[in-house]
Amino acid sequence: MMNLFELDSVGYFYPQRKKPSLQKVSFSVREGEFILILGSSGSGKSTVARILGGLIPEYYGGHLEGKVFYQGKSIAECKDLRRNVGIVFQNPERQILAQCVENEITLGMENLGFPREEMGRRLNEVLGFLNLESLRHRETFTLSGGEKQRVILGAVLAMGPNTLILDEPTSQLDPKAAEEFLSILRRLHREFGYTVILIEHKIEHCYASAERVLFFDDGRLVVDDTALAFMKNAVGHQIHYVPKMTEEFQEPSRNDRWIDQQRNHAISCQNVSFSYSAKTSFLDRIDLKIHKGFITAIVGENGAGKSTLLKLLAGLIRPFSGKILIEDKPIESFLPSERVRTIGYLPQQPDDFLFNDTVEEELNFTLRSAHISEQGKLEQILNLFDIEPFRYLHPKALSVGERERVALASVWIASPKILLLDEPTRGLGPDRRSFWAAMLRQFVSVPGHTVVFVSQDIEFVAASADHVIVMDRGVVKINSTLQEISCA
Amino acid sequence: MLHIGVLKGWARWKNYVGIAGSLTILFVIVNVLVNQEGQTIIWQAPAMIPGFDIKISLEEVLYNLRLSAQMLLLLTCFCLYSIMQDVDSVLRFLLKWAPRSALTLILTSLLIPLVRRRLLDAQDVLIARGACFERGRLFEKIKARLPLLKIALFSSLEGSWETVEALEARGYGTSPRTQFELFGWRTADILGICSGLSLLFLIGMNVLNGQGQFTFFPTLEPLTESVRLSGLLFIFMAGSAVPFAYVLSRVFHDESV
Repeated sequence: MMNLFELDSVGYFYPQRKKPSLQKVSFSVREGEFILILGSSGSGKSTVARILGGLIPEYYGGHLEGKVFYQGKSIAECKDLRRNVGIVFQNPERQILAQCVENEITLGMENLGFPREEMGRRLNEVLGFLNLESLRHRETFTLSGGEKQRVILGAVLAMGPNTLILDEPTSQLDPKAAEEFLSILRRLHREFGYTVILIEHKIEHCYASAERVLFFDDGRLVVDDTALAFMKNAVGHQIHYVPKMTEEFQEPSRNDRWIDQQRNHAISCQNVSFSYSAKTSFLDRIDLKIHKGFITAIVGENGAGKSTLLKLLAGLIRPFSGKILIEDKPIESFLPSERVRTIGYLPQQPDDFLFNDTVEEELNFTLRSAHISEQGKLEQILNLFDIEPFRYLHPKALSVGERERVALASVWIASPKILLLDEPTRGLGPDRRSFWAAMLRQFVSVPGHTVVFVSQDIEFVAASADHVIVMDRGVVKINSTLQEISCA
Repeated sequence: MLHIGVLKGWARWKNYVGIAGSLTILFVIVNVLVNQEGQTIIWQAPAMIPGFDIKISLEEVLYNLRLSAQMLLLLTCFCLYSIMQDVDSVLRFLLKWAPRSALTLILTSLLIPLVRRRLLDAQDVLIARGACFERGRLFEKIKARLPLLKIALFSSLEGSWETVEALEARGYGTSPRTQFELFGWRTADILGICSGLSLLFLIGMNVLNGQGQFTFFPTLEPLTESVRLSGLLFIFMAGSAVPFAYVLSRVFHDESV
């Protein structure tokens, strides 16, 4: 098989960055291969995807060193690269460009100047293959995340590429939709011979298909080997990118012995219903008790009502009926400053909500809002989260991992007793998941502290939660310990 | 109105009526307080503050009614446009003939709902961190909301970068464009343009003949022959819209099938 791509000592600097994002990276991609690219955030995975897709340096600018070849020619000279190489990115919301599914799929073909008859034929093929026929005339904003990502894949496939580059395509999808998406990729590779280059954190489902693994660390290609060899050697080298969830479920839960001793409830919901519209009920008569001193995970499919329940517990929205008690006190009786000192809430991608000019100001904002006197608290939190060196820097100038630490610190500094987190590990690699698991454990190590988090990341739930609440269509189906659930 | 009914757009039109209604209330209040030109007084407020009389005249009421009708008419036109116009067709047209404007349209149409959602999330985060948007005077309320704008700005900039990257990855600007859906003149287009132009012509003629004016203040102008003629013309135009709306409904029905 011939080489499709060849990278020779490639280095890259993003505009106005002094530190290289890639350093002396060399590898080749053969036709028909399925390559899994792994590495922590900021390790250079997405940069490689953009180089292979011809977006760097053309779209991003910056300085590219070394040589990149596509089918033996310099990639810069390849006029038909867009036709041959399709790219799917992480966030389906931001890739959808048209209002109707059919128009979304034909948009790329129109850009490439396909004849009309050819477009019609390809459109029908793609709709049939991806099982999108019933969505053909649907408005794109009415689609679920999984459907959107399939439509985007369809739009890319219709352009007729032989290579697919996918940058964490399932990070925003629920487990079921993610598995469906990955199974389509497997079919495209096995049945139609597509070359697939996949960057993915949901590694459980990828190893079976991947023929090669490229592992990046700090902009360098550290491992380039078969998937089997990578799995055999990774653990010994402290590389955490190997499947492990099944073992986690078999372990007895760490805190089960406490459950009988500690019957205090941090949160209790009594017959709580909530609705976004007058006609339908979104959450239906939720009765729930969340134990103090434990980590509770809320799981369920998209639209099950998990995030809505979390917002109710945070007091951000009011229930339509029923009562929510926080430490036996009705939530509506809390004054704003008192609530900040009792409940800490972080939404998805919390680092997006940092708005002050320095890290110090970001933390001070919470202190001021909650009427908490500083008295060494700032120093303590800066050191606890290891963000003291960035104290006077703009939060947006930090790496994603550092920004997450600042976001968590900005809530933690008010010393809340209950921490509510919405999808804290969405789209994160194992290293950053470990950070969150460690911080949650540290939080509940203080007597009386409780964590409730919403997640679709079953590995993370298995690794960090004591209790699991399973929701389905606005109803709590299971509320039990992790051990009981894994035994069941 | 008839067209909106034909196109089953009442639900959307209700939103526009809501906007027109609230603006009308604002107009009425401002007009009653500021405009005291009418001479046919129908109600006078008891004198509470010396030198500050509030009178409501027949002229003011009719003038406000006319303003409200104009407002509703304008908003109805926008509503009709939003129901009839397919955003993707506009996008395709602009992508071919005005690529930069198309890019702006894509970013605007996609980002407004995203920014709106981001603002709501940001509001939740700031409330959870102790921010209070309802406390204090107007200036303090605005100041408390400033961080929301900052977050929305950052978010929309990052979002637009990703959107344009996705468009670039799908070959935008690499080859001469073709179109899957061809634009052609439809019966509805011809009828719409003809009817619009003839209305414009009639209105123009009317204005040139001095029949488009009506004096409200200080007293209502008597209903002269020309005003009556204008009224008859209006009734004629409204009547002629009925068969047009019927044809339009058939055309739209056939094409959607």
